[in-house]
Formats: sequence, structure tokens, C-alpha cells
Amino acid sequence: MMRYCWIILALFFIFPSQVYAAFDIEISEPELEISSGFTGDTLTLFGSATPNSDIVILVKGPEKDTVIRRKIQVFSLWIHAESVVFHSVPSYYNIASSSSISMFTDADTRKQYGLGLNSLSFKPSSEITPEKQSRFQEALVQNKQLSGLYSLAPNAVTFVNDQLFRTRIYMPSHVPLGDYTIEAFMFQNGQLIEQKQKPFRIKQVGLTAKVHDFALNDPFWYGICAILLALFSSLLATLLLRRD
Amino acid sequence: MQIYLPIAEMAVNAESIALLGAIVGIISGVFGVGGGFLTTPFLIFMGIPPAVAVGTQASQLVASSSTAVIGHWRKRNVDFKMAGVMIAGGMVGTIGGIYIFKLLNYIGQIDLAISVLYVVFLCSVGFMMLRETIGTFILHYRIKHRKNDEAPATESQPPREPSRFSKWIRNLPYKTHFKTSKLHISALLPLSVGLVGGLMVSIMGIGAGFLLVPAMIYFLRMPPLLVVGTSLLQIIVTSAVACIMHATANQTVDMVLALTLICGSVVGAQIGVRLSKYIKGTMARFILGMIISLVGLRLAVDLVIEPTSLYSIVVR
Repeated sequence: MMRYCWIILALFFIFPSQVYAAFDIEISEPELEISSGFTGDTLTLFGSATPNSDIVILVKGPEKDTVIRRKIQVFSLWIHAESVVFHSVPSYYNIASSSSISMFTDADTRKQYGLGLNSLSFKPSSEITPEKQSRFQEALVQNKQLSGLYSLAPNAVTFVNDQLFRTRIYMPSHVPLGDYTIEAFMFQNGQLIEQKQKPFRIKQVGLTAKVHDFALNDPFWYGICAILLALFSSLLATLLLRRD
Repeated sequence: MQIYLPIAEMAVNAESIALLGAIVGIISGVFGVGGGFLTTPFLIFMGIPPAVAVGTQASQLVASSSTAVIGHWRKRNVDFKMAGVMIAGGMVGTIGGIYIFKLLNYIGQIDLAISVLYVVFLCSVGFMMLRETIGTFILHYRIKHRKNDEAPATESQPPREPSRFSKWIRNLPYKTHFKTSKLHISALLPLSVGLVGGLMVSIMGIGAGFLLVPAMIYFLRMPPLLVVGTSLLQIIVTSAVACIMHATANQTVDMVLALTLICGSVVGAQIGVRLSKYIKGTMARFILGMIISLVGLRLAVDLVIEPTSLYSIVVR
């Protein structure tokens, strides 16, 4: 897939004005494979757009119910007291744009498409006051940002020439597994002109995947294996390191 | 070297995990405790979810304890009958503990529960051991000095009047004869010691050797020589049960993490068994008391200082 990107890239350099620039995006790999050596990875994303447009690239991870809890001090101990459950919270959220999003969009558009960390709105599982909701939601976003799963990167979309752009998206080692969506938005003079969507997948492969599947599909035997493994390795070590 | 953990779904530094395993192995070899009280807090500190830390710890306990128990077995330092009764209690404790763990995890208080239990158990056991060993040191010092001056001291105290508690213990039913330990006590005693051990394996991810060993010496009055091997055997079986339970009920046993820990701990345990020849009796209990108290105090500090972030999130 990387090869095609380079071919497109080359074409643009050779015939910059001849190639018709429709709005489209292409990812370096449609699947991110996690094996035992995985320590995080950077995706490269290419796309073409009409000249003089503003681009937003939004990568969203699978949506999960997320609990956020607040600690308070009780008898000098810090314990969880309040909690809010939000439905369908993206487990990963990375937004990259060609310039600051607020420069070329209005608040309503950002809210409608969920563009920007302040424009997200999660649905709480029970009725809570708007003040509490915004307080907990802000804390959730901040928490996710600190753990590297939510990020905002203005100016991360760079134009190679006036039609071709590219961006890099970082996935940390604890990136959630599952089905992702990559959404691309093209704005011109504050108006949304076109929107494209691509699926993306993060999965475990090799031995890592085998262990993961075994643990989920056959938990009893997985437990037995874990014990046998433990017994075997300790026996082996005793035999090898025995003095007599 | 970074290694990806398939169940925790994150990458960790393999060397530091193996080193942690090695330290725990040395401690288990020298003192006959599982050393889990060090592993679980450190794994959580490294960012591994508490549920995975506790679940994985169960299988690591099997490895570290079985390495050490083989040595004691060969020296015939295991009371199998006593271990059997304790294991029966341990099974009940383990199964109950898994459900308590699941409930606490659901209501979001598992981190607090683990920390508070650690602080309470580690500090009380640690301080008790320190008090007892320091007392013994002072006694030895006095005897030694008096020997130089005059005739051997008449230190032996008059036999104390048995307390109401020890009378009650002596009158418990189901009296059983434990031949190896040369004891004639109620089977309910080792059963309840085992039950507590089982609860702690499944809730805190520790073999609770630091609690079992003193309980067996002071409470069951077993010969100290047999205590270490017997408690290790009980720990192996209860943690094996806990491991299967955690794997089936919560899917929180990470084999890659366990194997990395085990690699360190089996080597550490061999070193520990060798070291145990040089660190003996009161001194060993004093050192262990220090380690336990320090870990307990460290966790207590974490509970009372204001956390950097008041909010924490859990993805369901």
C-alpha cells in the first residue's frame, strides 16, 4: 500500500497541474498489526485535495462505555466517591488539521462533527446536572490526553504541494484494539466541501494474538497452562541451577 | 527491551519486570514467603491494571513457591497433613475472594481495597515481627553480658497463666493429631489459617506467607523448621486454584507477563535458598520485618497524600 502512495506522490510531482485533484485519502497500512515487539507506531496518511482548502483528519477508536471516578478525602484517605458512566466514548481520538480548526470552522460545525477535544459530547448513563457532566467530561478528556490516547495536532497536516497533503498519526503501545474509522474533512472558506471515511483496524498477530485468543476462548485450559508453565519453568530452573 | 503483553494490552520494559521477579525470588528463597506483597504494588505502579497484576501474580506465585518447596521437600521439612487441612480452607477462601474482588472492581474500590489491606496487613505483621525480634536481640545481649560477670542468668520466666483465648483455642472441637509436627490441635485452626491465606491470594495477589508463617509459629505452635515448607505447599495449591479462577472469571492472567516475572524469580529463588544458610533465625525475621514494614509505610503514604489527578477512568 505504501508503494501506491509513493506512485501517487510521484505523479503529482511530475504532472502537478495535469492530475485532477479529487478529495481522497490513503493510509500507509489499512491494518496495524501488534506482535510481541510492539512499542507504538506511527501511521502515515496521504491525501489529495483542491488547492487552497483546509483539511481535518480525525482518527477514532472503537467506542466503549467509560467510567470516570472522582476522589475525595475522607478521614485523610483519598477514595473514589463520585462516578459518571459515559456511553460510546471513543477509546482513541486523534485530530490533525492543516491549521487551527477554529480558524476555518464555526462552533456549530465543530460540534456537529465532533471536531476538537472541546467539541466532543458524551452521553451519560443517567441524568446528571450539566455542570457535573461538563466537569466529568473535561476530566475524562484530560485523563485520556495524559495517557496519550486523545490528541489534538493543529498544523500536523502538511501540504506537499498545493494539492497533496500528508499527516502522521502516532499510536502508543497501549493503543486500544479494534475497528477504527479515519474521517477526512475538506473545508473551503469555512464551508465543509467534502467528507471521506476509511476503515482502519488494530489487531494482535502471531504469538501475542494466540495467547490473547486462548485466554478469551478457553479460559479454563488457559489457566491450567499458566500453572503448568509456572511449574515447568521452576522445575527446569531447579534442575539447571542445582549444585549437586 | 520492550515487550508487548497480550492481556494487559500494553508494552512494558522486560528487564525491569524480570528484575522485580528476581528480587521477589530471593526473598521467597530466604524467608519462605511468596514475595507477592512486593510484586503486586510494583506492577500496579508500572501501569499494569490492578486486576491483571493480581491475576498474573497467582501463576507467578506457583513458580516461585514450587522452586523453594522442592528444597524443603528434599530435607523432609514439610508436614503434608497440616498442609492438606490448610489447603482445604484455602480453597474456600480463594473462591470467596474471587467474587469479592469482582464486586470491588465493579464498584471502583478495588485499588483502595488493595492498598488498605496491604497497609493494614503489612504494617501490623511488620511491626509485630520487629518488636519480637528486637526483644530477642536485647535478651541475647543481656544473657551474654551477664555470663561474663556472674553465674548463668536465671532468665527463665515463671510459666505464665494460660489466657482465656488460649484456653478457648485448646477446647475447640475436631482435635487432630499431626504426627510430623508433633501437635495435637483442633483441625479448625489450620483450616482458618488456610482460609485467610486463600482470601488474600485472590484479593491481594499474595501468597500471604508473611502472615501464614507467623500464624503457624505463634498460633498453631508448629516447629519453625516445618513451617516454611508447609506454608509454601499451601501457597502453591491455593494460588494455582486462584490462577484458574482469575483466568475463567475475569480473564486477567497475562502469560507473557507471568513468564517474564518467572524467569527472574526462579533464578532469584535459587540464590535465595543458598543465602538462607547465612541469614538465620532472629536476623532473618528482623530483615523480613523491616522490608514488610517499609513497603506498608510506603503504601500508607500514597493513600494520604493528594493524588496528582483526582479523576481516574476505567473502560468497560
